[in-house]
Amino acid sequence: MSQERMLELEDVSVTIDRATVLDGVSLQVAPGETVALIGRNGAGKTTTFRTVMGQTAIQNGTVRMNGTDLTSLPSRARIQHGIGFAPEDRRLFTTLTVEDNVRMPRWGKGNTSDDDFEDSLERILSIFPEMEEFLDRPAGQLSGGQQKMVTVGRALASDPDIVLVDEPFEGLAPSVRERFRDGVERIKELGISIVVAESNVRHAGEIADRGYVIERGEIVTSIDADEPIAENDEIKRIFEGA
Amino acid sequence: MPIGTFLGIAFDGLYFAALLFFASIGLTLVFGILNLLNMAHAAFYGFGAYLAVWTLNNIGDVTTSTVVLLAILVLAIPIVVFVLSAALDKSVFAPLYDIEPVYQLLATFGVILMLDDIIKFIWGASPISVDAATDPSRQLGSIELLGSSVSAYRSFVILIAVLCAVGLYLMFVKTKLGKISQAMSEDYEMVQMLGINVNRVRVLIFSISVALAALGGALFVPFAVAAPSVTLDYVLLSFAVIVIGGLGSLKGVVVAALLIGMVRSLGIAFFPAIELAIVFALMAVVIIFRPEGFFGHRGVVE
Repeated sequence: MSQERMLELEDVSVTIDRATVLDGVSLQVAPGETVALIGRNGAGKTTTFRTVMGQTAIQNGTVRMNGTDLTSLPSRARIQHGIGFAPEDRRLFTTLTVEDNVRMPRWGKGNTSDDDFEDSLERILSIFPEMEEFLDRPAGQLSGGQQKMVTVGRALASDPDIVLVDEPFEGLAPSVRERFRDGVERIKELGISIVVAESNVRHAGEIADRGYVIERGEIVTSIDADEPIAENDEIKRIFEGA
Repeated sequence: MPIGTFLGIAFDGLYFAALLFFASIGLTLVFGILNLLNMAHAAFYGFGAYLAVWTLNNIGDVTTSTVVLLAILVLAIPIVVFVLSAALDKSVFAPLYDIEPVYQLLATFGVILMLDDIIKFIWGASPISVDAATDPSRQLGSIELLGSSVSAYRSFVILIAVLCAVGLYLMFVKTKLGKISQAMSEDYEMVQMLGINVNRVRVLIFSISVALAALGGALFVPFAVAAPSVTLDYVLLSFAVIVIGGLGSLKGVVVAALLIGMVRSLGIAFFPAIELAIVFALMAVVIIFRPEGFFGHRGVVE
């Protein structure tokens, strides 16, 4: 693992309705890395992302980005520190056009320049060229796969250093899944770090450089770059009952 | 029915629809975008009415120019209330956004009583009305419309309502504020995560909504008195509008205000004793057969 740290969670604990949903989670992501957060449904992957995005109150621990402590910053400030988020359930604004959806994080960053937006859009279209065909359509009229592309595109629109993608392949047809894998490769080529939350070990193994395994809100092991994810003992125990 | 009588009924219906639009539009926007069921909304209609009477009656020593009087009603009163409501949002309403709707109803009903008492404290419990010298409706007189004589002032009120409806629609579909508001009506939390300062947008939408209610109250008084009962009347009527039109829908408010305006105007012409009962019977029918209203659950501008 690289020693340079971009996103860092240190001993983060989160309690919701008196239930501990994250318990001392620590993980690090270096510039340019693709890291998988692997676990079954309900293991704490989405909560980890929501915590990074400032949507859950942290009882203990710190979240840092490029050395800046984000823990006490409001949710809306996280994007200013170079973090993009593509949620599992897409959460697009269905009555707005795709273009307006993609513009939203730029407004959030206070950047209303059309020239900058064109540059950013060009970069997004280099990842998902299909989006050009439906930029003017309301997001609610798109297919599930198209919506997923827009969700990732929107997360990239703020020109983030790192993007958190929750279950990118969930619910996609095999051919669209292939397109997504190509898209992730293109994001890597652009030098953007990626954290994917995955409940599918094979998908995680195909795209990630390394990984963390999360179970019942705890990181139970980390998997180094030189170890095939599917061969990890904890992965086998959790997913194969071995 | 003579055509003149029919036109008169239709014109009165349009005028009443315009007043209902002003009383209800902010209520539906605040609910649709900010998720606050604000019973106290109509109190700002009453406040606008009182403030307009007081201002018109005190400006008489300086000017009685019709243009100035209309500018006070259309610009000065809404702007003053816009500024006041921004302060009220932060101090009184901010804690109410995150609570259950039933508690919002109770809390904002308490705010109605509070605002009503403040109005009585400032202007007294007796009805007040605009002096003849500064009443723009008298100054404007009447105009000929399709062979019938109608109030020029009421035509002006209808025109302002149409301009506001079109202006709001354009704001929602064309501007950054409008698009962010539409997004907030769908997913408040996601808008936050995209870096938008939702509190700033909330204050703006709340203040615009309240200013529109005050505009309605201000436009209402040259033809009527400002009285404590105004608030309660318009609380009930504005809820009828948003129930029939569908909570959170701009189009719903326009259609329901027109419908209720026309039904009430016909009721006054043919069954004056039960004109309000007819309006609320219509609301009951809509609740039974279409509980979400005509345009509920479709977003602010759909």
